[in-house]
Amino acid sequence: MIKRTPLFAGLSLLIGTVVACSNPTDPDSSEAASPEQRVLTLYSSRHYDSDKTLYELFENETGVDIQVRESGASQLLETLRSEGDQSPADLVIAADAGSLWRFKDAGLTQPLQSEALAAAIPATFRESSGHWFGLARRLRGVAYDPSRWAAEDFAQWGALASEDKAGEICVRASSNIYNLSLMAEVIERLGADAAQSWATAIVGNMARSPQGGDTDQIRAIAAGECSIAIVNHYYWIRLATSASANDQNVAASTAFTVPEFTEGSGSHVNITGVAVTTAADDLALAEEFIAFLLSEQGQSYLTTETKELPLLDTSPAPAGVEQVPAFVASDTPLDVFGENQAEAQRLFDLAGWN
Amino acid sequence: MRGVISWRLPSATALPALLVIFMVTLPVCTALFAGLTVGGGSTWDHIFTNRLLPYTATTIFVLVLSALLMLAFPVPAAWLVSRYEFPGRRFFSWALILPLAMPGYVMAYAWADLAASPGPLQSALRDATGWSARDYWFPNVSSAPGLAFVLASTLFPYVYITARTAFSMQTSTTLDAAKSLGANAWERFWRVGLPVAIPAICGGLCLALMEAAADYGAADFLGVQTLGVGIIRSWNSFGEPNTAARLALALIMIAGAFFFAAQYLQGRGGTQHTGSKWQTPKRGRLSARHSAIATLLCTLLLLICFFAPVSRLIWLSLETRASAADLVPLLRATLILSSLGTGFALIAAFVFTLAAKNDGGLRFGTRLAAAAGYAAPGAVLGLGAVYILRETGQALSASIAILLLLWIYVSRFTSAGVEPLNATLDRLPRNLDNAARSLGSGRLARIWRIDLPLLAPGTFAAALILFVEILKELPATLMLRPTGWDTLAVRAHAYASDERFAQAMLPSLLIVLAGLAPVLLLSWRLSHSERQP
Amino acid sequence: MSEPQSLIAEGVSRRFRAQVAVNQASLELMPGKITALVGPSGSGKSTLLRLFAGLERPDTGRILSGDRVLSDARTALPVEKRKIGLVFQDFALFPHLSAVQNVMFGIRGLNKPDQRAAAEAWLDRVGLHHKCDAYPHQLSGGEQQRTAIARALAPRPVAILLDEPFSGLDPSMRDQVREVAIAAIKTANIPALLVTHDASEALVHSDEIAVIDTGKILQTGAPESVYRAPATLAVAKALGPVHSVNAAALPDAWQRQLQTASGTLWYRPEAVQLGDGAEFPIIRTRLAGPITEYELALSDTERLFAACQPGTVLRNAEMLAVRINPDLFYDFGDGSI
Repeated sequence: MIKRTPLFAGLSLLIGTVVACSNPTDPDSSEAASPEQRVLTLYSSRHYDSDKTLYELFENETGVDIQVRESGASQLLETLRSEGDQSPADLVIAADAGSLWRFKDAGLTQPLQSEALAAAIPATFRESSGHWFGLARRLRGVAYDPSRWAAEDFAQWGALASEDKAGEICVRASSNIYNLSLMAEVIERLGADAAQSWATAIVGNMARSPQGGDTDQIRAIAAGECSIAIVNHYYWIRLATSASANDQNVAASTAFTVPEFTEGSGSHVNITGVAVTTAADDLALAEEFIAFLLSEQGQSYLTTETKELPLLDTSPAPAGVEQVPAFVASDTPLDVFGENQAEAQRLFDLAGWN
Repeated sequence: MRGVISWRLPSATALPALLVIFMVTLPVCTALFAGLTVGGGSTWDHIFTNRLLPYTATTIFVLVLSALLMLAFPVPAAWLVSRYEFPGRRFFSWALILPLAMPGYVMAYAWADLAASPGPLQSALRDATGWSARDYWFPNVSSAPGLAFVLASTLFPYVYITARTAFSMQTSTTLDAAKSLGANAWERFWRVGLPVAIPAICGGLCLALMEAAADYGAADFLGVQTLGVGIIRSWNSFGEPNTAARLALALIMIAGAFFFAAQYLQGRGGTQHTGSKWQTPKRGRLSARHSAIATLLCTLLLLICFFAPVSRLIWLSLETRASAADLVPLLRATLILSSLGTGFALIAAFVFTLAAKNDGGLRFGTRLAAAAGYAAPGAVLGLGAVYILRETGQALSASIAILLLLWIYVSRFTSAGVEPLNATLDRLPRNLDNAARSLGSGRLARIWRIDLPLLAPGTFAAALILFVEILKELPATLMLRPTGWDTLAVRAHAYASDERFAQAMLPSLLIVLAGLAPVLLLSWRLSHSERQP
Repeated sequence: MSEPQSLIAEGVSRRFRAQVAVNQASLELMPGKITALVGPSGSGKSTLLRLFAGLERPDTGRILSGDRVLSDARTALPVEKRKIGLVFQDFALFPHLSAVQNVMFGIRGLNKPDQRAAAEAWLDRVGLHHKCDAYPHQLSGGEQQRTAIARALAPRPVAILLDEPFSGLDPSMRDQVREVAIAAIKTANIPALLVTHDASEALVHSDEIAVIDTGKILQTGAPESVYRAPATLAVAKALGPVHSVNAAALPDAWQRQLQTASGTLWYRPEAVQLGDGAEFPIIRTRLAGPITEYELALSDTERLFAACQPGTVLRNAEMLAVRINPDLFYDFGDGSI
C-alpha cells in the first residue's frame, strides 16, 4: 500500500496533465478560458463536415468560439441530464421533432422568446413557446420500383397495407426514430387501433424482416428483393447524387413519392431543429446563432450535404432535391411526434414489427 | 523474540485487491442496484410481457450458435496448426489471430454489405445464374444466425489462441502412448488432445462469449433484438435508464452462467501438463489429401473472418473517395484513451492476479469481480457511472468524464488482462514461491523479483489485448467521452448509423489497422514462445 | 557466522481437516549430518519438512534452531527469515533467471560482482561452472537439481531441507548427481534433512535415519542400527524387504538359536545364507544381479526366502543347504502385521 499510494497519485496527475494538454479539438485551452472569449457549445446529433464549415463561418464572422459534441440524440439527452446545470451545452441540434420533444419533456430546454425567429419560421416548424426551432425539413415517403408501381399507388399511407403489396415491402426496424415519428402521426391521424392494424398489415406485406437503414431498403429495390420501401427523401437523393456510378444506377432504377395520411390531409414532414438548453446563459448569442443558421448561407450549408429541404420553399434547394415531388405538409403539431413516441413503439411491438 | 511475528497478517496484496474489487464492481453494482430499486417505469410491464423473453431467447440463441461456430472450426484449425505440417502452416499459425483486430460492429458493416442482396456476392450469383433476387434463398446477415456468425468471426481468436497454446504445450508422450494403444489421428484428437485441452479452450470460449454477450454495435447494426440492444432501445425509445438497467440484470445472469459453467469445467478437467520440461512436440506429416483439407480449412477461415471483410472495407472507402479529413484528432483521442485505459486496467489485473495467487480467499472474489465487470455491457457500466455521478453530486466536467471513462474501461476489461497473466502463472513450477521464501525473499521482494518478471510475457499479451479491446469499445465511450474526445469507434458508429457507410469505412479501417499492430506483435510473440519455451 | 545449531522438532503435530499428517513428532537434525526421513507416501514426511521450513505451522509443539524458537502454535518466524535452504523435487528454478542468477538470488550483503563470484564458486562445487549462463530450460534434469542445491547452499543457510530431491531424476544420472550434491551439503557443515521414499538412498547417504509412518516418528538412529534392529515391523518394512515365517515350522536347531518355538518371526532375506544348517527343497530361483533369491519349502505351507551369493552356479539343484543369522530375525509379537 505504502508503495502504491504515490503511484496512484502520480497516475492521476498524469491523467490531469494529459487531459489538460491534449484536448484534440482544443490544443490551446488557455485561450478558451479567457473571460473575453465568448463560447457557444453545441450538442449535435448531426455529423457533417459542411456543418463544421458553417460553424467556422460563424466563428470568423463573430469571433465566438464554437465547441461541438456530436453524438446520438439519446446519448446527448442522457449526457445533458447527468451534467445538469453544469452542462457546457448551450444548444442542442437534433434531427427529429420526436427527439426535440424528448429534450423538452425532460426539462432540458428553455423557451427562447424571439420575434425575429418567430417571424422567420412558420408556426408548424417551431415550438409555440420557443422550446425548439426548425432548421431544415425532411420527408418520409415511399421509394418504389417504377416498373411495378406508379406514384398514384401510394397516394396515401394506407395503400401500403393493401393485399396487392404482399411480399413487396422493405423497411427498417421499428425502433428507428423516423419510423416512430411516422407512426406517431399515423396514431394522431387514424387512431391507435387503425394504426396498429396498419402496422400489422405492413408486417404481413414485408419482403423480409426489418433490417439495415433506409439506403439499404432502396438498394434492395434495385437488387429486386422488394419493390416498395419506406424511406426518407434525402437517402434517395444522396444515392442519385453519389460519386459512385453504382449508387446512381440504384437511384435511377427507383422512384420516390410522398403519401398523405388521408386525402388532402398533407404529408408527414419532419424537421431538424435546435433547442436552447436550460444550462445556457447567453440567450442573445444563442438567438444570433439560430438566426445565422436560418440565413440563406446557413440554410445552404445545412442542406447541401444532407440533401434535406431548407425550412422555407423560398430558400434555394440543394442540388438533386428538385427530384422530390411536390407535397403539402400536414398541419399536425410536431410535438405529437414526441408525445406519441412510446405508444408508437408499443404498437409496433404488438404488430410484430421488429 | 526478535523477528518472530504473529500469524494471520493480511497479505501485502489483500488491501489493494479489495480496493480494486470495489472499484471494478462499483459501476455494475450501481447500475444493477438502480435497476432493482428504482421504479421500472410505465414501460417496464410492456418490456417484461412483450420483450424480455424474446430478447433473452435471441441472446441465448446467438451465444450458443456462436459458441458452436467458434468450437467447430477454430479448434480443429488450432490442432492442425500445432500438430501437423501442411502448406501455409507457419502463416496460418499467426494469421488466424488477425480477426481479433476487427470489432464486431466493423465486421457487421462489412458482412452486411458483402452479403446484402445488392452486394457483390449476391450480384455475382445473379449474374452467374440469371436468377432474380427473389428466386433463391441466401443467408441473411441481418438475423440472429447472422449476428452469431459475425460475432464468432471476430471473437474466435480467443478460442484459437488458447486451444493452440494448450495443444502446443501437451507433451508428445501422451499422444505417442495413445498411438501405441492403437488410436488413429482422429481418435488421438478426440480422446487425448482435445480432452486435455478442454479447460484452456473453455477459458478462451468463456472470454469470447462474455464479449459476445456485451456486444451492442453489431446487433444494433444488424437489427437483431438481443438483450444488449434491448437495453439501449429501452433507453433510447423509452428514455428509461432504469428499465435498461433491469434488462442488464438478465444479461449479466446469462453471462454469469457461462462464467460459472467454464469455472466448473476448468475445475473438473484441471489436467494441464505441469512437467518441469516443456517440449514442443514434433509435428506430424499429412497426406496430400489431408494437407489440402487443412490448408483449405485455414484459408477459408481467414478469408471469411478477415481478408474478405477487410478488402470490402478498403474497396468501399476507395470507391466513394471518402475523405480523411479530421481523422488526426480522432486518432489522437483514441490512442490517449486506449493507452491510459490499458495502463490502469493492467495495474488492476496485476493486483488481482497476485492477490489470487497469494490469498486463496481472494481468488474467488477477484475472479467474480473481474467477470462481473466484463460481463456487463459498456452501456450498463456507463449508466452505472452516470448514477454514481448523480449520487455524488458531481458535474460531468471533461476531466471527470475522462476519469469515469477510464474507470469504466478498467471495470470492463480487467478480466481480459487477468486471463493471460493467470495463464502465465499456471505454467510455472508450484514451489517457486517457497524456494524464493527459503532464500530470504519477503512478500514484496517476491512480487518484485519473481512474480513481475515471470509475468512479463503474460503482461505483454495482456497489455495488447487490453489495448485492442479499449480501442474497439463503443457504448461506454459513446456515453461518457467529453466534447472533442470522439474516438474512431464513436465516429465510425455515428457515420454507420447515419447511413453514411462510405464515411464510416475509413475510421473502421483505422480501427482495424490500429488493432492490427498489437495483434501482429502478439501472434509473433506466441509463435516465438512456442518455438523457444 | 555463528556456530552451527541443531534444527529440532519438539512434539510437533499438524492436522489437515480430519487427517493428522504429523503426530507428536520429535526429531533433531544435527549439524554436519544428513538425516534421512524415510516413509511411504502419505506418511507425513513432506509435511514434517514443511513444518521445519516454516511453510506450515504446527498445531502443537515447537520447531527450534538450537535454543531459538522458530515456530510454535501461536507464533512463527516466516520462511523468508529462517535462512533454511529448500530443495524441491520439481527443482523450482526461476525460469527467467540463468543458473548463476538463480544461485545469486539468495546471496545478501555483497555487491553484484562478489555475488556472482560466490555463485560461480558454488556452481563450480557442484560441477556446473560451464553452465553458469544457461537458463533452466537449457539444463538437464540433473544439472537443474545441482543448480537448485547450489542455490539453496549459496546464502549459507543454517540448515538445508531436501524434499525427494533425486526421485525426479533419470536413474543413470541419479548416483552421480547425488554424490556431488551430498558432498556439497557435507562441506556446509549444517543440519540437513533428506526426505525420501527410497530406502537404499537413505541407508547409503545418511548419517541418521528417521522412519516415519502415519505421522509418527517410529525410530531414529544410525542407518546401520535402524536397519539391523528395527523397533517395529513398519520400520523394518520401510527400510527394505522383510519376510515372515511361522517359527514352529523352523528346524529345532534354529528355534534354539532364535530362542523361540512358536509365533510369527520376521527376517531380512539376507538372514538366510548358504551354509550347512539345514537343507530344503528349492521351489523357485530368481537371479537378481549379484545375488540370487531362493524360495524354499519349509513344509507344505511354509516358505523360506534366502538371498545369497552362491560361489558357484547352482543350476538345476533341487535342494539347498542354508543357515541363518539370528540377528536379522525379529519377533515383533503377533498382532504386529
